[in-house]
Amino acid sequence: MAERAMHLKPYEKTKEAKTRRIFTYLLLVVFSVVALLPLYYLIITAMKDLAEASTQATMFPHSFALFDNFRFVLSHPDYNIIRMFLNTMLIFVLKATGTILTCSLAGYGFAMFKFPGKKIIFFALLSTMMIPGELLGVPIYEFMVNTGLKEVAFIPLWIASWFATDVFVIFLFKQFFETLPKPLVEAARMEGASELRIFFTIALPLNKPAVVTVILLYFVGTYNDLYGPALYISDKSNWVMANSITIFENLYQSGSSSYLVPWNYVSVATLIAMVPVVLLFALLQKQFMQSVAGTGIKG
Amino acid sequence: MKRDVGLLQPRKLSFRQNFHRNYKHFLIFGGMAILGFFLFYFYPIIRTFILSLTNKSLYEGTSEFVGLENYMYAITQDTMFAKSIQQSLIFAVVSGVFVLITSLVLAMLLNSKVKMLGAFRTIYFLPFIIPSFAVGAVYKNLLNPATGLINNILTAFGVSDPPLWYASPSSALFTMILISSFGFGVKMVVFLAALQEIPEEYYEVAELEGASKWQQFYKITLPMISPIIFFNVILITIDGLRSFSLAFVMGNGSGWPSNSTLLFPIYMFMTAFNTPFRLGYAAAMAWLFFLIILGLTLVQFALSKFYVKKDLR
Repeated sequence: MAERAMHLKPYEKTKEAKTRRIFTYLLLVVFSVVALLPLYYLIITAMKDLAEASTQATMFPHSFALFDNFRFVLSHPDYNIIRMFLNTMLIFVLKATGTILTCSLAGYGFAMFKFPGKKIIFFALLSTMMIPGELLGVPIYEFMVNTGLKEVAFIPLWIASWFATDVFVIFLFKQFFETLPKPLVEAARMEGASELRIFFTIALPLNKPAVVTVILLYFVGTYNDLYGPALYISDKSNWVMANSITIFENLYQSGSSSYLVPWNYVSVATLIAMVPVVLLFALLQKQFMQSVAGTGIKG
Repeated sequence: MKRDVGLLQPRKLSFRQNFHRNYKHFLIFGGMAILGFFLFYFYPIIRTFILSLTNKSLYEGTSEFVGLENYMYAITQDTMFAKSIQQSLIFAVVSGVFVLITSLVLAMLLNSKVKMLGAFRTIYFLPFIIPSFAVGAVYKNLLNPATGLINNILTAFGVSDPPLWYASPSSALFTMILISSFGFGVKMVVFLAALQEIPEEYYEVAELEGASKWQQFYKITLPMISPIIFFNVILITIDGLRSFSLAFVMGNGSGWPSNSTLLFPIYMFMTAFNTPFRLGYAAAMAWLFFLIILGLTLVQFALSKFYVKKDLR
């Protein structure tokens, strides 16, 4: 393309292209700085000591207290990081398992079997994607409080996942199962395998990409969730990762939203909270970007 | 879509046969989804509507039917409701426009055969790995009026009176818009994927016929990716209107300072789930909010007829 263009108007084209190129890189670099600045400041703040971090805006740290900060954060009595991480993971595993199991079953049902009014049922399910959570939250909260399940085993945070309520995931699985080779299923059926057996031994194992996508999205979604925990978790032993940072933000604060936030401890807690996501991102960068690109979602 | 797998030769099956070959299995596989629809969508919506007609609060046994009083109060008298809706709209539209333009421009720049595409893409994507609940803390630190890097830089460049960012009611909402606009990375990845699917030949032909870069953008790129733009516009608007985490962290859960970061989801959270747990009133507000989202989505669908081109491939 470039060669042909140069052949037409050699001089103008190259000069114009060069300016455009420089401009392009300039813009790209500017936005790189914008994207990297918060991370940079996060890391250097984690290195500062308390006095510097809470009173001075130094671009390069004058003090170096990274290890002391880590020691302080990790030894804080409320900061039971292993407990918080395991709580988060427990919710994630329960949510992801429930969703993958029930939604893949539903997707298979919609893809493979006839039913009177099936299209209308599917349309009804799809239309729930337009309904904001605000419209659903109050009765569910009311129910959880009335039945006393509000703070039992995180039930409000994962129970809906076991009823195939994530219509997007049903859709994802349905699309895939519709492309499943028919002879494969027929052959298994001829040999007398039950439908559930066919599903679990043939159909689902062939659908690993969708399963991976759901796992990644649910990990990020559960990990980042603030609404659920803010609503349904109060007991310290049930705290999740989202609670790990507020401990330090409110360390020297008595009621009012006032000053002297120990940014060094907050930053260290943030860095620790980032570790699982960073690891996941480093290991599965490609799948990660594809999953996000396909859905455009961040929890 | 004809997937009646039980059918070996095409003949009409009786209901009984159909039940054993299809209906039974459909119910086994899809039953949970139908049950879930009724338990977690149908029931809550109906219940929310019933609640919205009462003055129920969680820890009071009795509640009275009040008709449309809650709705009337929210529309005509509750200034906090009006303010939260207004701020949510401003937040959604301004940050939405900003994110849309930034992510599209960056995706196009990255698509113009730059070197180190992978590196840039990763860099833009990096803010994504900061957990949502930490984003507020990270930017509060960065933009802190006294101890933040940004004001330090501004002062170094001779700005004598740098902004107070999130600490002042007059700039807090704007600060929040700015912060959420840094989330352009995710949408950019979506756009980049769409841009990379446009066949190269289109541009080559346009180039041969002497079309300028601007014409190429206007006549090829824009129409080709218009469905993705539409998809993103809807997603960004609804995400923006429903934005909770950032405002919850920035405003300490209550729209601080002076309700200037009070978005609708925060106000609803405060009304329904803090003392005195006014479920009835919150339910009415939720319905009004739903109607607003629905209205906006319909408007966007109507507008999309003017810019979304279908069946170009």
